[in-house]
Amino acid sequence: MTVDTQVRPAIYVGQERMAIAPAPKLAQWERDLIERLELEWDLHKIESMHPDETISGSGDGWDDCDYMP
Amino acid sequence: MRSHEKPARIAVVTHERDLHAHAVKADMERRHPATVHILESDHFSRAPGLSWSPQGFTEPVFPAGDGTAVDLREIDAIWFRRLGNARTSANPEVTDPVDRELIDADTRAAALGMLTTEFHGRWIDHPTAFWAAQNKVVQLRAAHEVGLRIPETLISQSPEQIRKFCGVHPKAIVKAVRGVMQAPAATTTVSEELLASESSLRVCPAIYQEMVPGRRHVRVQVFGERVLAALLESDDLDWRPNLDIPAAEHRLPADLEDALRAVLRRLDLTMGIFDLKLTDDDEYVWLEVNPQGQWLFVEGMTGLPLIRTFTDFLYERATR
Repeated sequence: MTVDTQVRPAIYVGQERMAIAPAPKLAQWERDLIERLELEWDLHKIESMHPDETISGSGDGWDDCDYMP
Repeated sequence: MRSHEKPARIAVVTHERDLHAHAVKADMERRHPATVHILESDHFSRAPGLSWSPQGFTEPVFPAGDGTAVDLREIDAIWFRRLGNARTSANPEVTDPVDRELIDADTRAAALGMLTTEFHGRWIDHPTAFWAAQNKVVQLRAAHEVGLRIPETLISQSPEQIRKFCGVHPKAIVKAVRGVMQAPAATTTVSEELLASESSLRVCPAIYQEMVPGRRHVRVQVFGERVLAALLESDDLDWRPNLDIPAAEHRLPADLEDALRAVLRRLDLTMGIFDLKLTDDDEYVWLEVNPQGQWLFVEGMTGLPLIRTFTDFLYERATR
């Protein structure tokens, strides 16, 4: 959670922020795809990303329900 | 590339570094006479920026990721994927959170207005349908009316109702109605601690559902009439945080595929990414649909030809 608070909404009771487990095989597949597409991306330099965090999956807010205006 | 195919111009509205968009662009331009412009919503301040006038003082153009300006009137189809990005690298010089929120809100509003008034081609899918369908209440109703097996569900902030429901379903789960990107939460089982917390239950609605047993999770990609499914094996209630799990192509019964297509028709969508669970009794239980859910990782985990299949679907939509 981001701040101390006296009351947490139900979905947060008993759990901290969703932790992402490394997925090295998928992360490598992504990096290979990025190389094949000749994209000049340095994902490992994105501060908010774990080295094994993936960007093609639905973990950590990359699914669409998080993008509603 | 087949020479008799119709040419097409397609735009993808999405955030920066969207691997889905780049993979489809490359496959599209390699196999079809089509051009794909990636419009990165968090970089619309790139020249020429966004401008619009009801009197026609300016052209309805969007800056594309390759530095060009794309006239919406010349586009055949828009793949509307994302409009906004909380983790953007754009505008690092703007540090005040309120200023950043304003930039995001006003850019999205201007862009959405321009897109919905100036673009007259085919949407995959229209923002109105996309956002309406994301609402869990709306989609649960649609799935139920189609006849799909859905979990016993209560969406509530009434402690009395929630305790009563969880009394009937002792291993009930709780998950967000919508959630926020800043703090995504995994689906969890309802704890005694939660049931005892009057204020946490009451502060806002949440989704409470019966526990659907089993470790077989099914991610289904429906692109038009095409259905490609994958079976993900995980002991976790919510498989999303750990993608280092066994996954393989999975064939759905034909009547279930038809039911999923029927859900999309009810929601006025042409595509959707479904989450199902396959119980130990071999019963498919519908959990949710993500109108523009992530699917590329499924190709990475299973080898399913999703890039190629989606590309063909998108091209057909653009040239219909």
